[in-house]
Amino acid sequence: MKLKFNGREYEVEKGVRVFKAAKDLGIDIPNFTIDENCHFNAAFDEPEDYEYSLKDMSVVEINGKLVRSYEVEVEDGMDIWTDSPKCKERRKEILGKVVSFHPLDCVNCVKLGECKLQKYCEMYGVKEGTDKVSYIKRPKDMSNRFYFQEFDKCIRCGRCVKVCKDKVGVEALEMVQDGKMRYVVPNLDAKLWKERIGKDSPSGKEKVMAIIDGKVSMADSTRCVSCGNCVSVCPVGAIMPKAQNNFREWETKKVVTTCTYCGVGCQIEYLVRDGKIVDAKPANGPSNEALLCVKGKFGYDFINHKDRLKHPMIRKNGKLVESTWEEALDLAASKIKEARDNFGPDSVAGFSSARTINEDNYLFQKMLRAAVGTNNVDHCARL
Amino acid sequence: MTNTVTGIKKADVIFVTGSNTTEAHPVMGMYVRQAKKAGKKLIVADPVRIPLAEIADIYLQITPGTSVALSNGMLNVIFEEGLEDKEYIKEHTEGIEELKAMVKKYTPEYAGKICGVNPDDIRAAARMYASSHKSYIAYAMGITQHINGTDNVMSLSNLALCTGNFGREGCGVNPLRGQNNVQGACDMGALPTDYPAYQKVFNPEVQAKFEAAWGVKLNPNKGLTVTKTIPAILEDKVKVLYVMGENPAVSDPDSHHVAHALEKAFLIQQDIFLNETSEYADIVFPVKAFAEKDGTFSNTERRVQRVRQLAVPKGESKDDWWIIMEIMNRLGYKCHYDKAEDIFNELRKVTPSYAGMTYARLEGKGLHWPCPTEDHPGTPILHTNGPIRNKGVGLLKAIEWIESPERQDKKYPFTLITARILYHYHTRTMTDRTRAIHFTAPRNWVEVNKDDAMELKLKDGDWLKVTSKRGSTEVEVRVVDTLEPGVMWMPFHYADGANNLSDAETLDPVCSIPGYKVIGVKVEKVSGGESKKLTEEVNNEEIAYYENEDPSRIRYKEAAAEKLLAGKGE
Ligand code: SF4
Ligand code: SF4
Ligand code: SF4
Ligand code: FES
Repeated sequence: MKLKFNGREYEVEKGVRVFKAAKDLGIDIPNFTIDENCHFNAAFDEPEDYEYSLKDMSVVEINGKLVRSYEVEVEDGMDIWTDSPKCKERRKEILGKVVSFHPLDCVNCVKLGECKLQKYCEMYGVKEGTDKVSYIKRPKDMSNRFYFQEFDKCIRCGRCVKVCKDKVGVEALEMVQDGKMRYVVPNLDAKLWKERIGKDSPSGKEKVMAIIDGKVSMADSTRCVSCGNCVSVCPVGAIMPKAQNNFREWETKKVVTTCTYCGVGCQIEYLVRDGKIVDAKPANGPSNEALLCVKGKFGYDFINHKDRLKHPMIRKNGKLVESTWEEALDLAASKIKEARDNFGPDSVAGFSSARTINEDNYLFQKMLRAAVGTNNVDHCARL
Repeated sequence: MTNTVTGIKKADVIFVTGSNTTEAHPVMGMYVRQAKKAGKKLIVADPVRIPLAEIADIYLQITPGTSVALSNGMLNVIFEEGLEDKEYIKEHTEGIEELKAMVKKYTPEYAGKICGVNPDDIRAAARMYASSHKSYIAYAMGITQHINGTDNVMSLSNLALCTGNFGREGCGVNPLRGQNNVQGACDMGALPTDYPAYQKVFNPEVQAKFEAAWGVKLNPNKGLTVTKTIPAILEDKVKVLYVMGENPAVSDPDSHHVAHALEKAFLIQQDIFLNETSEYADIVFPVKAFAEKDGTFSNTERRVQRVRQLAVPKGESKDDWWIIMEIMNRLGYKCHYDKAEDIFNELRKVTPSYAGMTYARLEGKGLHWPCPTEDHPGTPILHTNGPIRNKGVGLLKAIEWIESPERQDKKYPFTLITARILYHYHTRTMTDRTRAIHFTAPRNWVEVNKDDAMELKLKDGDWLKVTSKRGSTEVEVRVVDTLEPGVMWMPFHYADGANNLSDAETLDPVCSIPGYKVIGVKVEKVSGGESKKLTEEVNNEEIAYYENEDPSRIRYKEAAAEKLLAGKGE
């Protein structure tokens, strides 16, 4: 079917929402709640009367009326404006409210350059808050080993809660409300709350206060599997990896590759600066649908580890010592030759690797079969 | 896998057995949770009360090593109650009468006794599994790492065949591969009996094909498996061992045995770090890590995906293939490749299932093999026209349950299970270098059932000497209620741990897998006090690390400080 975005005509598929149709055409409609790959929309979990609602960020103008672009389906002949003055006004209003409870310290924030709030504020010229909002300030929660939470920067989009509940499926986080304001807190069992603050179903405020008082922290969550998916989806700097590597997004190059750990084969987008990995994010691969586990998300430190082997080594007088490539290769080949010629090809055996690429495996078995003459080749699949 | 990873979400019934999915294949585990939330049914059969057991509709806490009895018991119910797919059986299988006759005696009562579960739970599981044509079996090493591992797999395949659960979306029998490229290593012929694409070395036609392709005479004799290579070295039959990217000193069963062998052979090693195996190596070649090289991995669903270079290689490290190429030339076999893609283009000529793939085609979502031609879209689901073996006919095999000899020796009254944990990977050479992971799981432990612990007067943090016929190890105790009495559990990632105890001699007769999941052990409490010291040591190490070793990581420092303030230790 045909419709118009910002005055230009496009052909779109039937049955999709305006937001998605625009996204597929490369038209970005501002929003905080929908994940980059359209796998979920946290706006559906937001109460309708929430004071600081982010739902209207994604408004578009159709026939003079503002509608939320993720709520309406495309229709033939629709005339959609994604950035009309009316849209801009509405977005400005929301941003003004949000900034009222967000520290304006972007220069010192590691998310700078990637932060959606900062991007939109710049886009719509919002410099300061419009409301006087009273809310409970919270210290950073550093208790998880892989990420930290700085919920004072939280804009209450609900994405982290949503991904943890619906995609990871463990519900380690929950969104509570106190007065007009919502807060993300660790979702703990009644037994634990009882133990720590003597109540098995504390109110939202009591939960937030318990965190401030140091009575509970993210480390108390036995549900959290440290997968870091909440880190990956947070649009601002409220949940961040601890390994900061002090980079800015614009200094990095992004490359997608396949995870090196288990057989799921997740696609990971690495951020690389000066040839070194500084961060990892889930790419929207066919087997991982924009999710990762703790190893894929955080387990890349080994690559730049100081113990990495840098030179060939040969054992001399019982000790491994550095050698040149020529010497090591010649020695290896001569030992293989010696065994092959004196004791037959089956006196040589090789263990190939389930860790390395197909090309290496192919050539390894070819070496043993074609250049040595033995089928003594296996790998640790069985182990 | 016969089906896809995300295909698990399309199933009506998911049967997870011998796989602690949320720990070993975490993203797959997330899909199981998603499916459960979407109202799908979940059956879990595992000796350990794994996290997925908590959300399962039916959980069967089977005695270690009794999977075959469970499958037979479920089949008994399926046949008794007429729940099988008669048409599928007629069209696509062979051997139904023998199977039926054999499972007759595996009544739920009989099977329940062997497995240590309630017969009614076996009935319920059978009914649930057979209730749909979208029943998806997912299994991992809890099924294969047994001396009768092949039987275990066959018995699961019997279940799927008899209920017609092949060849469609959301069903099948799906092994979850532990390592990123096990699938690829097998596909590429890193097997003692197979050239690439499972073409047999002892088949003269195949041999002739490869002789033509590679231009040399080839050896028609089956080679040695990993587990048979070790004794062959000790018997002086193998003189040179070439190890690429593996750590047999830790990963192979019966470490003491392995150490002797590695010591004896001339050992050539290729790796990114020195590891336990390097202590015996005569030559070590430094290689690039996955992030520094181009190539392809094949994941557990047979999807071939690109690996792309993004980081700068360290020092003089080289591609694995470059080193192999250099050695081949020195051995008198002339060859030359400029890049991994050249090798890919060669291998696809001799690997029919990869023939239609090119690096260009792998961009985006990759391709599932078989992909025979350049216009073939790949094959996400196998057996859509009936099982491929023997012209569309799947062999049903009547398999009797056998008890592991490890469980029969009364001198070793406990059964030890070994498994993966979420944070670590294999022998930890990579994961342990991410400091946060190291500090999360720094050392080995053993889990003991709480009743056993009471009897043995054990509490968390005590130390236990665990001894099998092969050797022993001393580890810290964690008391749990996730195990049945008489069963213990240990992660397999740590040196001087589980592999000191496992058995290298009794192997699965078909594929030589050692019985890692059932190890007979005896235990003895050893003097305590050390746990606390070790915990303190790690805590201090953690704090020192944050403070000194990596001061640029300011956040780590804050974390450490905060930890101190809060007085929170391990
Ligand atoms: S790390 Fe994963 S499990 Fe933990 S809170 Fe975040 S999304 Fe949830
Ligand atoms: S922490 Fe981030 S993702 Fe979570 S609600 Fe706040 S802003 Fe959204
Ligand atoms: S990110 Fe985790 S689940 Fe995904 S491939 Fe890597 S190890 Fe496996
Ligand atoms: S720049 Fe927006 S939260 Fe840091």
